[in-house]
Order: sequence, then C-alpha cells, then structure tokens
Amino acid sequence: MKKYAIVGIGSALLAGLLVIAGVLIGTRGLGGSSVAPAAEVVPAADVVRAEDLGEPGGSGRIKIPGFDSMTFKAGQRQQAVEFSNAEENACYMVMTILLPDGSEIYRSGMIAPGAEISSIFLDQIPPAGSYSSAVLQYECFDLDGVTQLNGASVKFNLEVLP
Amino acid sequence: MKKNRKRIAAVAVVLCLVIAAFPVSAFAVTGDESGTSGSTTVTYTASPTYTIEIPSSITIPANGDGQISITCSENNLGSGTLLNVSVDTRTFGNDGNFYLVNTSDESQVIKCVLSFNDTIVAAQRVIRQYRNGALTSDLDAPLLIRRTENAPAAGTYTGTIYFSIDVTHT
Repeated sequence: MKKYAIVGIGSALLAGLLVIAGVLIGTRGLGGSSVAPAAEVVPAADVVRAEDLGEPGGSGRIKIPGFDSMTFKAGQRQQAVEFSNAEENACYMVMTILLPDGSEIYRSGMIAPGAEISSIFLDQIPPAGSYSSAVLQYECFDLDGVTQLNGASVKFNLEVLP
Repeated sequence: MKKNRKRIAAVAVVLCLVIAAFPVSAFAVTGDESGTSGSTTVTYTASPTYTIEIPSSITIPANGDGQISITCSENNLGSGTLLNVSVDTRTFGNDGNFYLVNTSDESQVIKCVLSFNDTIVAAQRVIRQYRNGALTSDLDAPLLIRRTENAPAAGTYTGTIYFSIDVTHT
C-alpha cells in the first residue's frame, strides 16, 4: 500500500514538472524575439568592420533591400516584416516607415550588419487602406555609430488589411 | 499475481500522466470545410524583391570629380516592371544645390552639383533604370559630384547623398 502511495506521488510530481516545462516553452518560445526597440543597437553574431573589407574609412558598398509592397494587419501595433542589414554592409542602419503624407509610423534602432528584424511595433497604427507611395527610409552610419553615410528611400505599396 | 496486476496498473497510470503532459500541436482547418467556424491569427510578411547597392562614401579628388557607382545585385521584379533609382530631394539644399560641409566648422561649405550625362541632376531625376527584372541598367552614364567653387578653408568636408528607389509597373 505504501509502495502505491510513493508511485502515485512520484508520478504526480513528474507530471506536474512536465506541465510547467510545457507552459514555459509555450509562452517563451524556443527562439528569441527579434523586435528592435527604438534607440537600441540590434546586435549581430559577427559585426563586420570596415577594415575587414579592406576599405579603410568605410568607403565600401551598402546593400539596400527593396520592397515593391508590404502588407500590415489593421488595428494592431505588432507587424511581421523581413527587415535586415546585410552582413556585408560595414555600417549600422536605421529604418523608418513613412506614410505618403510624411507621417512617421515606425523607426528602428541602430541595426547592426547581419541582423534581421522579423517583427516590429508601430508607433502609429495606420487605418486600413492602400498607401501607394509609402516610404522605407534607410539612414546609414559608420560602425562608430556617429558618422552618417549615404542612404536611400524605398517607395513601396503599403496594404493595411482589415 | 494480484500484486503484479496492481503494479502494471500503476505503471500504466504513470505513462498516461506523462503522455498527457506533452505539448500537442493544433492544426487549423484550411477554410473550405463547410459547417466549420472559428478564428485564427494571420501574419503578413513580404520579402525584399530587389537589392540596390550604393557607395557608403565617396572621395572627391583634389582636382576632379567624384564618381558615384550604383548597381543592382538582385532583381526579382519580373516582366512589366521598371526599377528606378534617382537622387532624393533630401540630398539638396533649399536652392537645389548639393553642399559639402566642413566637419569642424559648419559655416564653411563647398557648393557642388551632381552631374549625369553632362547635365545637372535635379531631385527625382532617374539615373538608373532596371527593366523587367534585369541587373543591367538602361541608363549607364556615370553620376558625378562636381565642385562649383573651391574650399573656403582647409579641412575635411562631408555631405550625404540619398537615393530614391521606386518601382513602376508598365
């Protein structure tokens, strides 16, 4: 009888531990979040430095990823995106999304070379609709984080679906 | 014998509890099933469709023009598209000129123009055009930075060029 009690208590404890582990995995996920809070550096595993490219002073090339269109879900701050700063870029990038009227709805922190952002939090939620000349602005900075380099503005079609 | 049965039953109970604690994946029905209803969270993502490469900085020689090289290294836009690169309005001052500013004294500036095909480039003038997903531009004349006056004082002068990129569907 005593043996059954021990087996019962043991199995209940084991089941409880497994449930707690399952809840923790479910709520935190197995991978980390890649949201870039404003004014923070998004680190990459290996930061490429200008001198590594054999081009002192950062006189290399900057790869600008372009989008023809982007789709957001209406009424929510968090949106899924595929923003990145190419590993070959010897610079930090700050990405800003502007609506056609010039209003800023998102601004990233400094994104390091090789870093990717898969989810962003909008500062302003645009109403549902089609914005045919929204702008994704790229501001680029030397790896000292101070010296501004050449940049770009990518015009794209933003669809905000209800 | 009775004791063994109880042991087997206890082990079976433990196994049931352990299996029940494992996480289970839920699959949503794809929508065409009649008589079903429910809700699901939908996320939208868009992958980059092209990559334009710009120079991070340009050195202007003491006697001569600085050359700006722009290339397209990836273009998945396909047929019926024109990928245009122009110089953005943010590059120019209010008078339409491009200025280099002394890094130690902002009052010291050098007036410059951007030249393309021997004409002065204004804001939004298309300088590179990639048609139907091509990586080679229809426009290939060099884009140059040309000083229109000498430096007022010795020093390092910098300026930032912004490129505007857009896609038109033909």
